[in-house]
Amino acid sequence: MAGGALYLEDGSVYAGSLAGAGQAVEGEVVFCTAMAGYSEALSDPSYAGQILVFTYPQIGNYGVRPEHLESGRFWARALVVRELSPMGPDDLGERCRREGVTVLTGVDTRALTRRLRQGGTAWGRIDRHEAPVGPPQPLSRWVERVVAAAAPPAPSEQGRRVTVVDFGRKGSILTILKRAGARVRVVPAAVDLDALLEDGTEGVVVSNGPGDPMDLDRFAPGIRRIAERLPTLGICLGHQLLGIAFGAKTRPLLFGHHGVNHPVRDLGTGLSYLTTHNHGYAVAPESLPPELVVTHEDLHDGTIEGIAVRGRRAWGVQFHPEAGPGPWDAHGILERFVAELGS
Amino acid sequence: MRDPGIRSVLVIGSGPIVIGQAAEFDYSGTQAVEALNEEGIRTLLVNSNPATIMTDPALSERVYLEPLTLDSVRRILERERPDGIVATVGGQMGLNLAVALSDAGVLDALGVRILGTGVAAIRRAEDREAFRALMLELREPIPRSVIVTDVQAGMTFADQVGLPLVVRPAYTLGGSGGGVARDAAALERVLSLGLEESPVHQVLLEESIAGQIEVEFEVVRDGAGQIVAVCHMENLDPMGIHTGDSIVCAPCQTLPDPVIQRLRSAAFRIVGALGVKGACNIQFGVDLNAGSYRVIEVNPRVSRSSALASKATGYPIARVAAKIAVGLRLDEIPNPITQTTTALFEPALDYVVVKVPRWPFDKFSAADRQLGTQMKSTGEVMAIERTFRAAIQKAFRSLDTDGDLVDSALEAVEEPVLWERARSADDRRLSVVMELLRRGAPLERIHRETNISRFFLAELLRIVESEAAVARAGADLDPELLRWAKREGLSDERIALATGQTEAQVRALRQRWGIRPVYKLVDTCAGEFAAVTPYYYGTYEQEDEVGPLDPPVVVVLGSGPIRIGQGIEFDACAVEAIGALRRRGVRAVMINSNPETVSTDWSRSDRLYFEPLRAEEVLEILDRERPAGVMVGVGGQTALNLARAVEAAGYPVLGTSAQVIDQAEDRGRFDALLQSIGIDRPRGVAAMTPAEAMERAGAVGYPLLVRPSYVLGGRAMRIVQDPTELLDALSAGSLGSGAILLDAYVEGAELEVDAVADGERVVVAGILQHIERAGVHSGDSIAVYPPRRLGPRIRARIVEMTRAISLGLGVRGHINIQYVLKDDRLQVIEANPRASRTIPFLEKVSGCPIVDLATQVGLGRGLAELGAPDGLWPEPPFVAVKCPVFSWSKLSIDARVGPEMQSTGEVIGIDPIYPRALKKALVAASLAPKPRAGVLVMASERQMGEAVGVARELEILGFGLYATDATHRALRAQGIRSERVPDVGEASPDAIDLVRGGRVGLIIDTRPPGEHEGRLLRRAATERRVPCLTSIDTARAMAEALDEVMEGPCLSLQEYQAGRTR
Repeated sequence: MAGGALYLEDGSVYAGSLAGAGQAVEGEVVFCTAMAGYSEALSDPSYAGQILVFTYPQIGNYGVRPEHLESGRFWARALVVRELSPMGPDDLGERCRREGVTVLTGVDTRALTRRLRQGGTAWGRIDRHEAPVGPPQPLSRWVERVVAAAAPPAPSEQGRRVTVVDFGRKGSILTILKRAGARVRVVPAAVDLDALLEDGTEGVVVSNGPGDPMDLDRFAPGIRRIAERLPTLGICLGHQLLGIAFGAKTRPLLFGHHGVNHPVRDLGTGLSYLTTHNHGYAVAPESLPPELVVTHEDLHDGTIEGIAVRGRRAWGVQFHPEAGPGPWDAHGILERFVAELGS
Repeated sequence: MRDPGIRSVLVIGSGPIVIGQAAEFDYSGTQAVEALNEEGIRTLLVNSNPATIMTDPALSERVYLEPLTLDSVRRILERERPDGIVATVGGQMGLNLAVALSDAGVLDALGVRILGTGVAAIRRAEDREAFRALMLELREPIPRSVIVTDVQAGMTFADQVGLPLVVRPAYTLGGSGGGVARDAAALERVLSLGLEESPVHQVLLEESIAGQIEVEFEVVRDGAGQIVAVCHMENLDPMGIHTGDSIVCAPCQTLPDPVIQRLRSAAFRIVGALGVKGACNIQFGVDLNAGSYRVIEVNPRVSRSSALASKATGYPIARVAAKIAVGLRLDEIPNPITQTTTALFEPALDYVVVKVPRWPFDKFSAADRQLGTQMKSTGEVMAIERTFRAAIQKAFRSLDTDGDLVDSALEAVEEPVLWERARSADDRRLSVVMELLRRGAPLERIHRETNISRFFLAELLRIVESEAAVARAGADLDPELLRWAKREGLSDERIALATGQTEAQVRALRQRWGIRPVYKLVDTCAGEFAAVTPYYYGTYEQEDEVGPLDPPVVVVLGSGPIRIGQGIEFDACAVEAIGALRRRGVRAVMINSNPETVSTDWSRSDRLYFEPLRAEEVLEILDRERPAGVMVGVGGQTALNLARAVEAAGYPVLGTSAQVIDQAEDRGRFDALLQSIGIDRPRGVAAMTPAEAMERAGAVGYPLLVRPSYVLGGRAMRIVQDPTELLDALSAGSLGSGAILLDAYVEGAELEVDAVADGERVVVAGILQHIERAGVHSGDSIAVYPPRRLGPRIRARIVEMTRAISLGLGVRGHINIQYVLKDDRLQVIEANPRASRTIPFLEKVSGCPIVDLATQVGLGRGLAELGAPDGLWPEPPFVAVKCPVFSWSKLSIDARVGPEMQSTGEVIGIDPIYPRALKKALVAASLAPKPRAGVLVMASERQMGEAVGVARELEILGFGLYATDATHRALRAQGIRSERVPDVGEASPDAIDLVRGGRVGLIIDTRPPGEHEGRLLRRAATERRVPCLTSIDTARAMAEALDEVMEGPCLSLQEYQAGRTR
């Protein structure tokens, strides 16, 4: 293994060894605190273009299995870990090589995480030698690529007709919708969404995806027209775009929420549960228009984690009710969405 | 919101330390009491175990050191009328007591509520039938099983399902009485025992899922129904070995996320359906290949596992559970680690935690080392590192045994034998696996034979490979390789061994090359939030997180894993020392490796390093902290053994110096001192070889006490009557390779003192009188304080001798001295210049703040300045009795006291008068027989006269007597009626049948040791929980106690200390 390091824009250096694809790469560096579920995260299109740091030190302990993937390939640009376990089936380091994902191992990921927590999300470069870092590239440009790469889902014939608007959806969203009794169809974000009003769609799910939602505001008007007419659920990026569609703004978080242990309070019941988060942006509270009400908030830092559109059957959740990876405590949000269609 | 109707609460402790119920409940109980105090609640505590922090009278408003029986707790409740009881922090003992109080109608009658998880939920989780019904209702998979109340029904089930079957008695501790039955005969035996062990005479027989992955979840639920999974843990040892005896890691290492989530969701459903309000532990068996799982067990209380989870994550489970019990919601309880978030979250770890059990087999060579469903370990260690392989190496180094993960003795063992041992799973299995890996055995085959997951085996193989790489480099070890080896987790000691250097040389190399550990924070959130926990572990990484503490800083060395001879008492002393330091504005830094204890609660000290108590790790920490001093006197022998290394590295040992410690431990030098100050000790010699021992024994004279030098808890100590027995002892091989000590054995009364000296003054905190004459290990003797029938002249002599020895040695701090008194002649048996196991007991009953005084002396203050008397601390107007408690039934060893310590715990009895205090202690230790039970007496010829006297008293008290031939004749000769019983094997039915038939409530067996028949009988007795007294002195005390029928007052320790006696 060749020596290498992660160089951040502020000049800090985190030494390690190169593995996987072993190429020099740049990307936005984010840390994820999930202790398992690395296959799901690496294949989650929301991580497209990012350098993913796992805080848990030993990654790859149970290999890579196809049933754990959230999409057809790995999307993270690079993986930074303390230790890569060479375990079957389909050894993670080997898989990263095939997927073109650079791995930097042997890193003091806790030191790196502490830097990101204090200084905020950073742009970084993994290389053998020190080289100029940046400038940062917008990640939203990944949306089209991840959508184009997605394989069409297996058709489901029965149940309520739910159309998923794809910004880089995770496979788990479709799995849970189908299990909840939906007949799921996926359309790319770029299609004319007005068509959904005519094609028998009973409910719309606006998916997660990579990048800064404010860069994607061109999609907002379409989403608004849908949300005013059809039951609509936005997830993560979809939730942010729903907010933007009704006049809210999003803002970047200092270092984002990436993990599977974030408590979220349902303001309706007053009760909290654990959820999966993967967002570097959130709806800004001061930007909320009267049309929107906050339904969920993060128990730790008060971040808006859910909104509803007044008088409409349109909701957004910033967290991932589909989990994958993470706790299943919020599966009910997708299940109820399907169950209440047509009622 | 906190329930305003709860103004006073009784917390039930877990009683004496036994295998399966140990120090973890002191940790949880202490946390609960502190959590309740914070809520402004008047907290009451009951526990019969004085060697605990939770019974510190400064902690609760009233501490009752009373037996944990229905009657005694009822009296406390009647007197105190608390609003509620917290029963879920006192282990199975607390839970069973709560159920018993509820069943007896006591709670309803007094209007006392069970707080937190209620009786209905406890019953549903604990009662096998109810639990199974609930699982079926929830459609949760459980092993196929049947609940039986008689042997025949069990045999019928076996015919249907096949063998092997697992036997689990209902409501027992640590799986006691259970086991795996592989054939019909074994099933019949285990079944009948299991039925007997179960207080409800109920046993679960179930399909064996041995070999599956054992996974545990620690879950906390509040009254509003909000739930969090604090931690999940994976056992390295597959199903079939009790989790208390398994190597466990956190978080789960080999389970994919969907499997973890599936189990987590199942745990939430179960905990919700049970209606748990507080902590709950759930165990699963997981078959990854089949994609299935089974729910194995649910414990609706804090547990050993929850203590481990608390230490592994930093999340204080017991504390949170106590808050929930008084009505708070998870999102209303602040997270003390971040101080900005709440308890409603799930910790994320950025390290790997490994727990390894500590077994007592080094002391019990005769015990069955096979591991199974019955727990056998007395304690455990935990290690934190950044990889599994580094963590497990650290954990093994923390065990403080002669052994290591790599056991060089196995190099000589033939490979087929290794395979057999790998399959059969005793406590040394991992070392066997390591040896197989060293010989190049295929990983896949080891996986097949042991069912240990490939990931763990691959990690072990990495250890083998890293050692080999270092060995190849040998003297050419370079900085890069050494740094890599340290990151792989190899200790300096292993590197030294592999490269032919000394540990000190490797350390010097590391220092020269700047290869030093960094210390990282345990913060529950993997660095996501700023944390204030002062809780660290060492690793070889880029960034260090430890900032300097404001001086002065003192480092306190803990005592490591709980083992026989070095138990929870030392943790109590260490915690007290920390408190004493902090009260004086000194920063106290704790080093310890035991996850069960209060000392490793990070909120106790200014800084906690969770590291092995080994020279390498301790010196590294000292180099970081640069303390003004190190306390080695409160962590038992483990800490004391580090004194020399600490001093050699240039750090002052507070109080008594390493040189003084050496003098006390070195026989020759100690003898010379005694001679110079004119104090007697039993004649003795040291021999370097068995031949020399045989030769010099005659000069000392028989009987002789034989032992290796540098002993802990009387390890391998024996009394021999003649040369034949000596030869036998010498050839048993347990004496080790060092010097062998031979002492004249004086069969006199044993007395023990704890004292503090400052170089000028000596305060004797108290004299403890042992009921059993010398020859029974002091830790296994019943001790009485203040001593009875000890004349002022002898007392004065004891104080005088204690002073002479303490000052002669130059002790500055603790000293414990044992004396033997025979025919008015007082002799010294041994002196230990450190805190002893009797201190927590003695402090509570004498009121002398022993640890505080010794700590202050260590800080340089004089006893005079501290206002301590020179001489004997005033004795109180009541009597306290300390009684040992044994875990014989778990270990299948001979239930016979002797010079080697065997007890795992202790209880106390306090009363204004001696017989009642004694009786309380015996009741608390579960030694007292039921009224009018049968007593089987078998006395040795030598002690027949004394035995007859005891029998006469028992006869008067209404006990029916049984006796074997010789004793029967002796009794008849004195006109005492007894039923003659054939000795073991003499005829059928014999004495064993009598015991098994349930007709005997007490056995007095003082015949000489070593008889096969006696062992069989005592084995039968322990299996049936029939107390067996093997010292005539204990028997006499028992008779005296049973003679007392009046009930004493129901008073708290605080009231006793204030001089109240009624």
